[in-house]
Amino acid sequence: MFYHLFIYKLKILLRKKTLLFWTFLFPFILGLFFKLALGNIGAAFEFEPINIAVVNNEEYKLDTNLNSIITSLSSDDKNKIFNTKYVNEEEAITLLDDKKVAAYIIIKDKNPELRVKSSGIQETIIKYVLDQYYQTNDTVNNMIKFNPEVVKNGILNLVAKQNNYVLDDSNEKIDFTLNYFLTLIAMTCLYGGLIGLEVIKDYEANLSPNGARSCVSPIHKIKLLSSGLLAGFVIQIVILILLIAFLIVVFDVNINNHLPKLFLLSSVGCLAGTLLGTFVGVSNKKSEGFKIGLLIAVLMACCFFSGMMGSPQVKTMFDEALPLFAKINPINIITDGLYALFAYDTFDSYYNCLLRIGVFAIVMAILTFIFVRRKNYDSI
Amino acid sequence: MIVFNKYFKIVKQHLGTIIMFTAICVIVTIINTNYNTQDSFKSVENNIAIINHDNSKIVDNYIKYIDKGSNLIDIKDDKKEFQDALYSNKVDAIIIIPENFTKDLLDNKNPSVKIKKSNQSFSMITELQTNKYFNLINLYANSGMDEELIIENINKSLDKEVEVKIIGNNDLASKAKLYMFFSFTNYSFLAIFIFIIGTIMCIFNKETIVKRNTISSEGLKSIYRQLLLGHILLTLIIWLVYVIFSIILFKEMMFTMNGLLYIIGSLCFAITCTCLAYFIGTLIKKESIISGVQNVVSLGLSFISGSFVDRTLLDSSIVNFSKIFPSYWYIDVNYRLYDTSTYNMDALMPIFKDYIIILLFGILFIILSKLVVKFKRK
Repeated sequence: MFYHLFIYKLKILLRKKTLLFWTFLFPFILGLFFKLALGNIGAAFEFEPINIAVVNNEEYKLDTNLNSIITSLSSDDKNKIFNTKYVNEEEAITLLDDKKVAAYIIIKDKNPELRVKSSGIQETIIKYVLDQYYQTNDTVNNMIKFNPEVVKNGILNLVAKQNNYVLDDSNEKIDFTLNYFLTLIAMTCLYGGLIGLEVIKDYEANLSPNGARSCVSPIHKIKLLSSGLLAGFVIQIVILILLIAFLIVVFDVNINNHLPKLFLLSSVGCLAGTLLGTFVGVSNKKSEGFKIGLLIAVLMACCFFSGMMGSPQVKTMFDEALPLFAKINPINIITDGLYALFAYDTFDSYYNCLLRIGVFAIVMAILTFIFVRRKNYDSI
Repeated sequence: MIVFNKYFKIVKQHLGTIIMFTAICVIVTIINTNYNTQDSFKSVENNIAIINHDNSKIVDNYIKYIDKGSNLIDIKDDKKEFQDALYSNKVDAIIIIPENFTKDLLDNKNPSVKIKKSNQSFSMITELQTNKYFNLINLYANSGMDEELIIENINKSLDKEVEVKIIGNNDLASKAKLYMFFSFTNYSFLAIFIFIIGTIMCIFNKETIVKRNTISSEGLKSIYRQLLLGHILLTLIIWLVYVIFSIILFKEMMFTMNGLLYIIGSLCFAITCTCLAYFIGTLIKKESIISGVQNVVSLGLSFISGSFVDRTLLDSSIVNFSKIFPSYWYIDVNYRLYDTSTYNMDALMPIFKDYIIILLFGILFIILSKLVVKFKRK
């Protein structure tokens, strides 16, 4: 009988087109949009040499200090910061107007000036380089004032020598697009709630005529419910496997380390999602449309707090501002657990998240059980 | 006007959707444009964390110097914390100053501070600042000054800065806010119009309703005329709500030539969205499908056309593909308006051309709708 109930529930669920759209197609479509929009975003964080123009007038030619700074920072080596064009003032203005350069430098009355169109990161970098020109000049003056011997003993020659005091030690795993795909997997797990909602609707007498019919049938309620939930869970697992395979193979998302652990956490997440749906279904007597709307709205809000709809900082901001909510938000728990697999060498954070999402699933199961147990109706 | 009244009764039922998308548009604009308008140059401030293992006055002064041009973020000296802060972009870079750094520096041993970067461009600023600071310290130290004197002098030297002049288009910051608001209306208009007009079309295209209308005393032409009037009025009302919000948010900017051109652009796009929604409404039979189509079309067009993510960050093939949708041309208008400071014919012609292309898309959708209706009747 269990097998019979399971197979028929599976067939019924697979024929619900709207349900399949939200649980199956929508995550794929959203993933496609993420890939299209964010596929190139890593390049935005890379440093590219900045295009600048220098007005090559007589004053510039005479200023050897500035000349050497600009030349050294424009040479084709690993310290290259500028792509420099040497032009007259009219050409410099045209280049700036046409956005071919971020700024141009001109020396007027022996003072370098920076001309820009707006304030921005590139303009700030150029400004810091030119500041160095003034600050080094001031330093030389102060040194000579303090110890005139520096002119004779060669200490001043150190001005031309620029030491590097910064050693790049960036070995952290950073992929700014990853969080979007992790929240997408978490969202897919929790969208199992829609399946849970659909299953419970057909087994509760006060929710649908089908439910009333099921309740008068001579089958134990636990058998009815568990077969339906198992059918929903199986569909969810298949969707999850397809999504993960799609993300890894087609979108080349870097989540293929520790696949069994990733699958375990996501599966528990699917279970939690399905049970969340059953809880929403039995906890109130509102219309089906209201419950679906409520579930989607709550899950979308959870996705927002987990950083799906904003810059990477949004998640951190909410994690710090609402630490308790961050710990119980199921989307956030799954996202954090998957991130731990990607980022850390140890698995303690991962197991912590696995435990939390497991507890969430158990709490939802207990709450559902409290609502469905020992119900008798004289009339509906 | 029974059909017209029913039309707005249905709209009233979906008022929540209109309010929700308008609120999202306004909130996103406010969050994304939460910076001041500026006529003078302002250096960009990056987020930096400093882990200091060397207690010296020179390093303390270095931290104060970095703090002047950056936002110092407090994080724990822990590998996991570093990973989280860089991954979440909470910091653009982390500077780790080793023990005995100052001693080695003053002994000319060329020590190094470690940098962990998440954002190459933003951390470049800190690298430049750091190298400059310690190079100047090195110079002062070699001239024979003691620590106290070095700090006193270097602080004076660091106060010397180059003069920066913003020339020409100096109100780009306020223009960016306007650009952001109107670019986001791409998503809001598509989502609202497809949902509401699509739902209304579905309701009026139901077989039972069509049969009932056919035998009613109200002529079919009159029914279609009232529906058309409803579409026009709804489009104008929703567009006007957004115009009013734009005036509230950007008072001064809206009463300029630039503001007027944005308003005209948004009207053209609102009309085309209505035509698109009408076309989708003729294709769909079930109301339950509308929200799915609405989400896919509005999110999809917003992602690929540059409404959500700046077009410069998108792949060029995707940008080229998006040219077959009106959203591309609407974002194009908005970008041209953001970029234009003169309003002569040379500058205005491409903008007018984009308006016409947007409206041509509207006409195309109406023609397609007519063809679909004709095909269905057959």
